[in-house]
Amino acid sequence: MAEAQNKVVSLETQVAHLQAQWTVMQDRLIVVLKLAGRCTVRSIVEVLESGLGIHVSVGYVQGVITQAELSAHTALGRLLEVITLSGAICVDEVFFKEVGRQMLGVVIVDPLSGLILRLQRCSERSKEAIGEVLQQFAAAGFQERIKLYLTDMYTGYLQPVKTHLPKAVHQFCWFHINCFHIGARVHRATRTYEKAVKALAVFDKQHPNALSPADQKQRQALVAAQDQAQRYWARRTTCILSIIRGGCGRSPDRATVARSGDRPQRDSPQELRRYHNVSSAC
Amino acid sequence: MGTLWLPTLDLATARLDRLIRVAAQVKNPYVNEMGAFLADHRAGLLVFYARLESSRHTLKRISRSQQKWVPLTKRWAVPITSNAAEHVFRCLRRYTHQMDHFGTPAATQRFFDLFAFYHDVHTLRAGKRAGHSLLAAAHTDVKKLFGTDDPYTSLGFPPASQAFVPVQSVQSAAA
Repeated sequence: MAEAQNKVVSLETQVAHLQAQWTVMQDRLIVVLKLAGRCTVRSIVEVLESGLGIHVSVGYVQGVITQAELSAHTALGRLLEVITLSGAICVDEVFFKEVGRQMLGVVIVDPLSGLILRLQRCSERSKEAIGEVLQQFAAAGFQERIKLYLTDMYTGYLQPVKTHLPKAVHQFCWFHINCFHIGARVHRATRTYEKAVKALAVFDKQHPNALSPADQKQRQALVAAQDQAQRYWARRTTCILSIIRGGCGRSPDRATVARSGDRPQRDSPQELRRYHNVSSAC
Repeated sequence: MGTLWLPTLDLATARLDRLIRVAAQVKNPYVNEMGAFLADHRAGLLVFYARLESSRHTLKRISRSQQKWVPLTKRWAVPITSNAAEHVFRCLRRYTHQMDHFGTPAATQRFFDLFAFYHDVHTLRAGKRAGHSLLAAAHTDVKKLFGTDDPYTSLGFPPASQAFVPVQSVQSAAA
């Protein structure tokens, strides 16, 4: 009997130990669900309840995540002390919502290793606010180590970089230039040309017979718009590129005149359409 | 911009100046705008060449063949875009997309710290660095630093291997 009682006590101790261990593993599971599973707090509660039959409150889950967040802050600090840097950093900002208000997250990344060096909340997109982020970053021991600084040319970065990272040269992002600045203008110009061609085609379709003086005037205006867009955009940019690459060697005006010499006379809509086809093929 | 991708700073600068000059002469508002934009931002367009051509080679890159950081001397390796930052935002949006909004400013910053730590330390499942964390790929000894390469264990949670402890069966305990 005594032996049996000893065994029961031993098993009870083992069960208590396993329960304690399971609670700690449950905390780990909560953080895994948050980070690897990208779950919200409420969905973590639901997963634990429906999947494992464990009843936990929102506050408990929130508490475990907060504990992990505090540990991460310390661990990140230790990590940045020993990290090897390439000497280049990318800085950009993104908008988020915080209790209905818009706020900013400024990220500093090493582009050659992909490591996040700092991700900081920022209340506004001003020179002062961004300057504060850079100041803290520089004060953390990065001032002398950063040699190349890449941004999207936002004016708020210009002065703070010179002040807080004096050893760095400020390079503008080529992707932003290509896509959002030069590219946007190319897109706008192309759309204008396409619109002009379309407007003239629609007009010609609506007026197949002889035109009244007012219609003739309107058509001339449309032809002029289309011709202007074509002459000063579609052909000329090709010529500019060839000049810049050193292939053409002529001034754009002469080149355009030389090319436009063989254009057909566009009296009839048929010829005009034929010309449109040739132009678009070019 | 592709036309400016040339072997030396002198060549690239000459081409940029030519581009700006020609764009100003063209009677086209769009081209003029582009030329003016390039002229305004001329200082920051080709400045990366200065770092590349510096005799001190101030930048470093990770060599996959040599398995170490080496001086950055190749033009193709110089970063000229801020796409790395955009990639981080893409990763961050996977979390924020589920959420309605952040809570207090302190909670936001805490989450940012957790995300940054996880992003740097967790083992990647795909891509050219699959099987390694970004830190390990950057030749930082994570195990030496935290005693483990598991991000959750680094945060103070027990290792996953402890989840299943071999216990005695009831029959063997009774016997």
